[in-house]
Amino acid sequence: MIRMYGHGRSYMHLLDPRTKLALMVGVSLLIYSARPSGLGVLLGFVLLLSRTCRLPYTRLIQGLRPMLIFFVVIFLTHVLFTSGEPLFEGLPVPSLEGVIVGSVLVLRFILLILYTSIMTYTTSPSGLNYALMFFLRPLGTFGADLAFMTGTAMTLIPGLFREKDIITKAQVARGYKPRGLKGFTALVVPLLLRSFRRVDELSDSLESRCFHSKRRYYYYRKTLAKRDYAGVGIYVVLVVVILFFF
Amino acid sequence: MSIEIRQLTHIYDAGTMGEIKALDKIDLTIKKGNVFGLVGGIGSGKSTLASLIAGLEKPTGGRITIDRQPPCPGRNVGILFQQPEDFFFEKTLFRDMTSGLLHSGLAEDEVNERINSTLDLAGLDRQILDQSPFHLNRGTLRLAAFASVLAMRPRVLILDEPTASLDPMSRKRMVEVVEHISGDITIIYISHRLQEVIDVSQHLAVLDKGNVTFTGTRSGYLDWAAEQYGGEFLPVLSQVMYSLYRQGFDVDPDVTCLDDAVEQIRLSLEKT
Repeated sequence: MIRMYGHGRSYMHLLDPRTKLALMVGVSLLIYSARPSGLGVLLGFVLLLSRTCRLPYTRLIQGLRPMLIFFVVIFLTHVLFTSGEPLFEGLPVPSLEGVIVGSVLVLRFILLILYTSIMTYTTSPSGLNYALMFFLRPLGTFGADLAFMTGTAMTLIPGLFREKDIITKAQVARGYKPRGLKGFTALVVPLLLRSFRRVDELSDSLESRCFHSKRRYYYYRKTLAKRDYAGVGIYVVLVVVILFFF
Repeated sequence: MSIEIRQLTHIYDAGTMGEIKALDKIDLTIKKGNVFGLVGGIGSGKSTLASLIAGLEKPTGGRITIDRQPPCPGRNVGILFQQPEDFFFEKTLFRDMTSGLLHSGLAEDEVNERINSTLDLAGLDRQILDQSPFHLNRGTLRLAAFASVLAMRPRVLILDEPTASLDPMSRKRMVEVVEHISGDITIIYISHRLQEVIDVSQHLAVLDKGNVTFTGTRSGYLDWAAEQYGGEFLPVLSQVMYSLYRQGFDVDPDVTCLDDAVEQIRLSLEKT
């Protein structure tokens, strides 16, 4: 879901991280307020964005895999508990309404995850930190701490997946196939060990560089460019098209 | 058990803006029973090549064969990753070391025999088997991890920075074990420590930005490095011997053992 940042010079890469974060909130609202036909337009828009920032579709879809069980649970819950016209004679469930509602909700989640993947792929961790701090400024020191924690966590999550790959390979090389509950232990114990060590090293290095939440983090203040206003314009057009024409 | 690497290419994040070509059409032949040293700077592609030879990743292009068979991790090839002591997870070292072997379907007696013999080979006390891996020091754990890979009896063994962040005694022990087992197993030895690689390897390859810039014997490498960098990056002993050789002393510049070097210098001085 949260992709590792990939360096690039695409339009999305060059957008100010604050614009991207604000658009992220805007697109999320749009995903939840759009009608099913509007979701189709949004899917096309997300795939187009993925194309422009050269994130292959296969890799984009890979980000959905960890959420597969969640999608299945949501879908089945709606299929089994939504009353309506039965699909099969003599059986109260599944109902046609349940299948439609379940599918639409799953599609909304898929769109949200795909858009988040594109945003994290095109935004550097420091850019994300900067944007979060900007928007959480009204909360003072607490906001700065919260932004820093969120940004750091988002930076470390893709690292966890990378670590998981390394550990899996190492266990396979020792003749161990990490499967089942035992396999879970073989994966999780080393993962926690390495993650805690990494986080410990990170906090030590921050302290050694005089990091302090009451201090300013960035010396250079970013200014919005024309492309940022253009981005907001595209979003407004998208809102109008989806809410009024679909 | 020779390893054939032909036109091997590997690209990370292929098709994206951030794609990185880690290896570019590499050709290498590693002979059976040799210790093959792999050297190169950070990001030169050493660890990628190790992962591909171990069969843990699929190459973007080209092929690798171990005795005409594809690499199969845990079967015909073993790999000791960097900082392998991080991969322990069981309550006792014994349970951890046996888990892979038991998974392979070996009988308990065979597993015990393999664990004990490889522990002896690594110079570790068998009593540590009852201890928690989280209470052992890094050097001991590294050797134990090495022993657990050896217990799989691989025909090709890849050692990726096996002595990194080890104390001198543990490092010495690790190198001794490698020297002891070489001949029976084909070993690919990856390290930043040039002296160490030169000491243990019969053949070497140098990787630079995903390309092989040198491949040949140890003495061939010393000549090549002296020509390329004026011997700047060679071990101190090799630098001294090359310098004396160039100044007309009758010494072998390829000597890597300190005692041999002292003897040669002494004889050369006697002649003059």
